[in-house]
Amino acid sequence: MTQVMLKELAKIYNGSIAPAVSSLSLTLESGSLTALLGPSGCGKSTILKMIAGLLPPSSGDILFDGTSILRKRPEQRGAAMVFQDHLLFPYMNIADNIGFGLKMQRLPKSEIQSRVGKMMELVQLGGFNARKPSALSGGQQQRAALARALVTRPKILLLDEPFSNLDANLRIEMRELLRTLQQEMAITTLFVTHDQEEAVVLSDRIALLLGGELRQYDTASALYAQPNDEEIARFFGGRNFISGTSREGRFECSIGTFTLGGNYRGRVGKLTFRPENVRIGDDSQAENSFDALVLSKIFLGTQTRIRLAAGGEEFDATINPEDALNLEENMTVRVRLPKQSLWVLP
Amino acid sequence: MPALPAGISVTEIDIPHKVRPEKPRSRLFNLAKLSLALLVAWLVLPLLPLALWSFSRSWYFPDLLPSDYSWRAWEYALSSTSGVPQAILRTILIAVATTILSVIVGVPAGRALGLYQFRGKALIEVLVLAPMVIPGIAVALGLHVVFLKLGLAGSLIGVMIVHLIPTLPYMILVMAGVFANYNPAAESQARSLGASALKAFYYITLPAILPGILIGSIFVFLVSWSQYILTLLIGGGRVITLPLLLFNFATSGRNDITGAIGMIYILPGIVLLLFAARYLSGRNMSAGNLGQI
Amino acid sequence: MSERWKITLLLFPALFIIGGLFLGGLVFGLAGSLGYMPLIGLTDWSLDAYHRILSSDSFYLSFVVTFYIAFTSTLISGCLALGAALMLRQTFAGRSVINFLFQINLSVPHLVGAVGILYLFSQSGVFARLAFEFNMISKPADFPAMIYDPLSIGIILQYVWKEVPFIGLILLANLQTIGTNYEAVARTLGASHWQTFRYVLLPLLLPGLLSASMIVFAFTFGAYEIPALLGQNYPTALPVLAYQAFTNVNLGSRPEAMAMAMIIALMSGLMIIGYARLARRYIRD
Repeated sequence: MTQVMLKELAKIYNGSIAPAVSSLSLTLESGSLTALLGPSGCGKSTILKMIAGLLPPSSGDILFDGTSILRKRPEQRGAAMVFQDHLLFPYMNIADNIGFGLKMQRLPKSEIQSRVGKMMELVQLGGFNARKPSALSGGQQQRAALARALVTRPKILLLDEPFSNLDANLRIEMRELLRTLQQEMAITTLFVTHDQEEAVVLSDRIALLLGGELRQYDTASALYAQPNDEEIARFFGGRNFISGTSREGRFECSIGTFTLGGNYRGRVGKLTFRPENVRIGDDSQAENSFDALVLSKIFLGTQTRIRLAAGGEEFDATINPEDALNLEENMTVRVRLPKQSLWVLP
Repeated sequence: MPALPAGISVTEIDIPHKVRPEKPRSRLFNLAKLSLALLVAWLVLPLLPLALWSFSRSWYFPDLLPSDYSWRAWEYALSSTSGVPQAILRTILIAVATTILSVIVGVPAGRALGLYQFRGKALIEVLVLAPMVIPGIAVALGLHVVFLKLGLAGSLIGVMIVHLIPTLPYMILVMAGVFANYNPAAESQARSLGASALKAFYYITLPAILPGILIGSIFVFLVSWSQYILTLLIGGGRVITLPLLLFNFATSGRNDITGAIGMIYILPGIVLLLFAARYLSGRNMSAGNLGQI
Repeated sequence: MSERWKITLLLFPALFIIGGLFLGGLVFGLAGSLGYMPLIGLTDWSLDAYHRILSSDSFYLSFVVTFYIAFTSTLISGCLALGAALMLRQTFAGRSVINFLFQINLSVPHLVGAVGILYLFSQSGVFARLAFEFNMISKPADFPAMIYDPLSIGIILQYVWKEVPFIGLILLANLQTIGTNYEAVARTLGASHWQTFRYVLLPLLLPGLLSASMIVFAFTFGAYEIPALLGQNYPTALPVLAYQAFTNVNLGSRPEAMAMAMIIALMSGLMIIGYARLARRYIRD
């Protein structure tokens, strides 16, 4: 239940020219689950380590509920961390592993026992007390690692790609478990991932990091529909970018003039829209409709991707495979772009 | 660093560049640096008097440095009257022979242990490990009479054979490690392309395992080079290697000659180590392999 | 060729040599200790040799001295190596130099180090001369005896000199494999520096430390040339005693020599068992 604020946090490693993290400012609301999303090696783990106190920042500040914690040692901060590798202590049994943090804080044995017991039930490891980590499956091990962090009731829970070592089904299970526990215990959580789907499914908000910089901090739907720039749009799978000029609520380009929806923010540059929002076959003369040539058709399994051309530009649409059955290459079709789905990028 | 007034975050204070206050454990850190400096001195120390003695003409108590310098200890040591050149040759011969033998025997054994899993493997691994740990005297006494009967006692060949005991395990262990990371599929690939078994070995296997063979050879050479009790017992005092000579001179009181011999004695080890450091990867040179020289 | 045959063929020469020479040596040694050495005319099996040494003062004293030397050297080396490894773990300016020196030390034969110790610590050695320079002694005999002395200080110094880098390099390799993440997790769970060392790092390191120490113990227990050079004459180390018994003109002491050798073998055998059980615990490759 702690609000965590990062203020212009930066980190340059000795001997490096480019900073690993540059001037990051981010506020994590109390009890929220934020995903720190970005490609591998762009400083995400560095940020976690700075919050945890394992790495000193080169500049900037970190505040828990408004107070700077920079001068506190890691063990005093209450920032519990879970790594990709479960890192359960191999020479201790599960109960001792989970109770480790409580033991270090010198809590009375009885309290440790009861808290550990309850936590183990919560993560469905009841009865595993005496087992050693090596006797557990991968999923069970990661659950124990999670329990070990949560049982200390940390001010913030930091997770560094905790599920990437697990197979797909386990990953889904673990995500649900994490979400449930996190919400029940209302622990502010920041977790690092390079998996978009995971970020979208799990988090309240996503902090997108590209090149060590925070590029956008928004809910998942906002990132999809209203990306701040083309790079972000492409990161989330955007494929359609039409150059042109926007003027007073309209966008002029080689295809034609489009009426923009209410999310217009007054930018000039490129029109973008998601493939799944393209409407094909609407014979109407409704606003934002035009003729386009079908260039190709690719069956993707649950969807079919149609490549279309108009006004010298090419763009993609994804539609239901059934709807695509009567579309052929070199056909001319009527295309409509609902104005709500249009967004202009700089 | 002055204490920060409460409530002011670090960014509001103009501190050039380095923001973090110096680690409160800096005193501990300096102590660590001091101990490490002492460690360096300690590692080099015993070799220094040897060097000094070898160049001294006279160095009596209580002088801290020799009162007179000369090359004569070296001249004597390198002359045939001292027996040193002959001993050097003998020691090298034995070490080289041991190395060759251990390669011939150890590489296949290493392959077996590195590539395959089989029943009894754990037992064999202990068996391979044991000669490295069990002291030579425990084994050589029993062998002595047998070697005597076989006419090997007091002979160069006998000593070469017996040196295999502590050295072979090193070669086997290093090669087992090499083969554990080796993919034999490359050989089958070569065979399927028409290469004979010999050609496949020469062009595919050998280049891949050569670094391991070299490292193993260095270990074997060094272990044989430093052998004392095995040579003493089986050589019966007739096979005089460099360590035996060094021991004799050390107990004779001629510190200057002892110093020279000592310097000569450590040379190959250092040369081989430099060679390995420069041309071979450091990974296999873990101390666990180097054991007790 | 079937795999079993292949393996057998590959292993055969090595096993033949180890089996023949190594095991053979032990077996003949055992037989000899039991009085059976047909090649020199002793054909009566008996436990006489063992009776004789176990009832002899010089054997007990030698055993105790040897055990003491091995134990003390191992203990001191282990502790110093642990400290050195922990300090050397972090990268800093002189690290590669020290690493290099460690490796050079490994390649220097024990005997040379022993001679060096002799020249440093004997009563007319370098340190004695330094003591004279600072007016701490007035003649060689005033300098405390560290060579040929009952506390075997010179021997222990020599072993420590060689074994600290040995154990140290093993520990450094283990520390590398263990990594720093266990400690990172512990700190974020609320453990202080000391708690992290005591409850996390040390338990992870201990098996490797103990197994390396066992090798050191076995070696220092059974080595001949260092106590022969630096040790007192009575009681002398067990390997030296064994050698003396073996080279005694009286052939009857041969079985006693073998018996002593068997006891040395037993000690190191115990160490092997300990090593095999501990060596790779917690260190995943």
